[in-house]
Amino acid sequence: MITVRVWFSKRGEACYISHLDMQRVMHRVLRKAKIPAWYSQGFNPHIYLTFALPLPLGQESICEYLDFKTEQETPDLDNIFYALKDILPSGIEIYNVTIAKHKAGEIAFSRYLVTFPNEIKQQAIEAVNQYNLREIAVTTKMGKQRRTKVEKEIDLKQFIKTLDTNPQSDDFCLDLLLPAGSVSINPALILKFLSSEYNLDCSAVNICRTQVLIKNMEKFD
Amino acid sequence: MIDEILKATLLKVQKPGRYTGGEPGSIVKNKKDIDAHFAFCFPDTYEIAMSHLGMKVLYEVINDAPNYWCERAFMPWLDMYQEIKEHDTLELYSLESKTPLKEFDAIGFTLQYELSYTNIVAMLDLANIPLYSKDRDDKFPLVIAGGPCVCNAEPVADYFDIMTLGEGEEQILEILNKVSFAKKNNQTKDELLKELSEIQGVYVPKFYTPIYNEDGTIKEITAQDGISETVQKAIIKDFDSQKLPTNFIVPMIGAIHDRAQVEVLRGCVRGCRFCQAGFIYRPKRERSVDTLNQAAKDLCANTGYEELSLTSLSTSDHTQLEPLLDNLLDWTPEARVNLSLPSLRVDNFSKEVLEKTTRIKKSGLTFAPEAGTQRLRDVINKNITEAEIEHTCNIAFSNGYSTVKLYFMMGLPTETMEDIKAIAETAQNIVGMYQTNPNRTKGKGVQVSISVACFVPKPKTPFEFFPQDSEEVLRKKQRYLIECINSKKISLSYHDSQISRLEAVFAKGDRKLAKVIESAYKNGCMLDGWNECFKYDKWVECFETQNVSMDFYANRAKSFDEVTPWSHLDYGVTKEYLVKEYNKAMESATTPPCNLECSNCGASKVLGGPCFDYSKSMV
Repeated sequence: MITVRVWFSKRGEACYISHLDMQRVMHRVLRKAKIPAWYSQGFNPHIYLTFALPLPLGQESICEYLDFKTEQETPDLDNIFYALKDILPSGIEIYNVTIAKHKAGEIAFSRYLVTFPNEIKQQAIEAVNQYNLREIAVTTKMGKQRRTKVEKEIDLKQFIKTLDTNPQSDDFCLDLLLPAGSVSINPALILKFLSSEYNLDCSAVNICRTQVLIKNMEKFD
Repeated sequence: MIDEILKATLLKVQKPGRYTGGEPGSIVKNKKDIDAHFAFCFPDTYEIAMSHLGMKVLYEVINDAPNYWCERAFMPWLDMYQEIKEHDTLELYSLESKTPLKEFDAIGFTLQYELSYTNIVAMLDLANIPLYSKDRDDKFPLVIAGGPCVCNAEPVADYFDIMTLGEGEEQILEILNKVSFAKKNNQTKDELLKELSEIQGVYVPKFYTPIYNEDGTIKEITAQDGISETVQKAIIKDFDSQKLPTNFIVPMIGAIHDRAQVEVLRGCVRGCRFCQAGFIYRPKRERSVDTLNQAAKDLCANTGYEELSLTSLSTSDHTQLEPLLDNLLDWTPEARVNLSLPSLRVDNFSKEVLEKTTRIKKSGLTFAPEAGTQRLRDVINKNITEAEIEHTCNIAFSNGYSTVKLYFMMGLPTETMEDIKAIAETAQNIVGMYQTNPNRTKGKGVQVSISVACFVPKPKTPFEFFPQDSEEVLRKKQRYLIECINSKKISLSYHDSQISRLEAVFAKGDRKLAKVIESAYKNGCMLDGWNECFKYDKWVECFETQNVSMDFYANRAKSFDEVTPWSHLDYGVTKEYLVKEYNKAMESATTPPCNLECSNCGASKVLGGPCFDYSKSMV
């Protein structure tokens, strides 16, 4: 069976669709488009959908993907693209349909653009400079210990030494490369740290995922 | 469309998807191209609102017209309510274009449930629209109400410019036509209201004045000069030709009923005496197999839904149910659509129908015997027998079912403790039947859930004259029922008697309640239909400070000649018929379904001819 990968961006009002809801929404959209997807066998047949990296509620992305399987040997990718193009929720835009090259398990990094509103530009610059000078930056993260949820302490500095800014933008932006996959760092964790440590109001900060990469820094395809 | 302030707000609240719109199937038009801009307002949260079939019907009817645009607006949850309230720049907006409600030409609330009245007040408040019709001048949108609770419109009548009785598919287009005409020609609000009052089923509360007796009852309701003394509901005469909605908005965050629905029939032939829907939607009309099959196919194709439900007050009363199921089962398995059939009745539930639905998916079985004894079932005209319940359960058990849900009511007219005990006995019998059924699924225990509601006497039914049991009596009956149940295979749930009491007050209330609802809202009551938000003590306090008695509305019997607050609202069925049915109830005499024998209830006059062709034999 072949795995088809549908690439899309998720912005604007679509960033309020949670990961679980995305599954249901995309399931129905694929059905509506009459995509020749493979259905799981059994009591409650459904299209087997995979999203490897759940995008937290409220964050945008220009590099989301979903996988489904098909029994067709040479699926018509253009056809799938056009069948889906106009029926997606507003804010979700499909930009490519490919045959999956890499496996989801190969994902190693995600890249994010974090944009601060102009009103807090100076405080943000100051906070980021402070962060870059620190030796350690400890914050807490919800994690799992067997089946129970526990708070874990992590040192952000282990994962990202310096917060790089994006000089091409007029706004104050960070361009962050963070581990993703088996160990993931949510950029919101960094904002949480900045807001608690330096009293920076991050409620209107925009987070957008811009790239998904594999171990050797190649683009995930 | 979503500005920075709204964006920051959305990140603070739970389930922001409730407030963003943009779902597949939602309609966006250009404001420049439209003559009338309408907002359908559902006074409850997104998940409830998006389950409502009526909204989907009107949304499509209005948006099919190129020059009208129907958007949606719902009651926000408490967190979002607070956010909007606290931010000066935020106000209640429509989901599609994020336009403030105040900028619409007309906004229409659906009155589905008495305890959503405070939500209407809250939504108008969040929209910065004055609550009372008299305080709104021409620059505010026309505020409309529709839906079943309009049959006693009075508690909220002062809030609305017009209230619509009956079925809205044709009526709403006539209303929008007059609204757009008024806009183009700069008609005043009064001129427009006069015009609107000429449309079938449109009630303009300000043209009517109730005059009260000293004891608080109504002496008469007078209509202004030139205005008809009664308002008769609107009805779709050619129901089969009325297009079904085939382009539902598909909610993204889920809804209570998140599936494709086709309305197979409207109205009900049964005439259960407690049931308001059974009286106000008369006469029963059904759609043909071909119409329904095609609509179901289109709807599933357009939405991608994986479940299809045949809805109505009583789906098994469709005369062509089996051919319909055959037609649907021709294509649903291949399209991977599951079929579900709510509203089945115990008496005409056949093995064939059951097999057809179970071929795809097996879910629980639900019945509504409503009362425990045959005597009481005869009083309420729920024409089913113990034998029929047994027969149906046996079929179900033999076909692999092992859970049964039963709905009952307590507080029904003439009810005694014997009747309460019989509820438990009925459930116990079903448990016994399972255990003696040789074809039951081996190794699986039976589970019988009984859900017991408190009876709320409703206007436009033969029980409108009847008082509700007091809270103490209802509590006593509930306690007794718990004592009567002594099997772990039976689980019991019952309604909060305080909620039911308030429902009764509003169901039978008059215009004096408008102030109470307003003050309850100001004292923090809203989302009263949600257990965690219901503040009965606050309500009691507001009734006291406004000097309005709850007992007067809920616990007082009405004499037959008392003028009711809804006497000027005509739903077809006559008061004489209701009295006749009340008297028959007191004698435990039943009335046959009206497709078998006409009892002259009066509904046929709205249709303009006989409801059924009695020369053909009805099966």
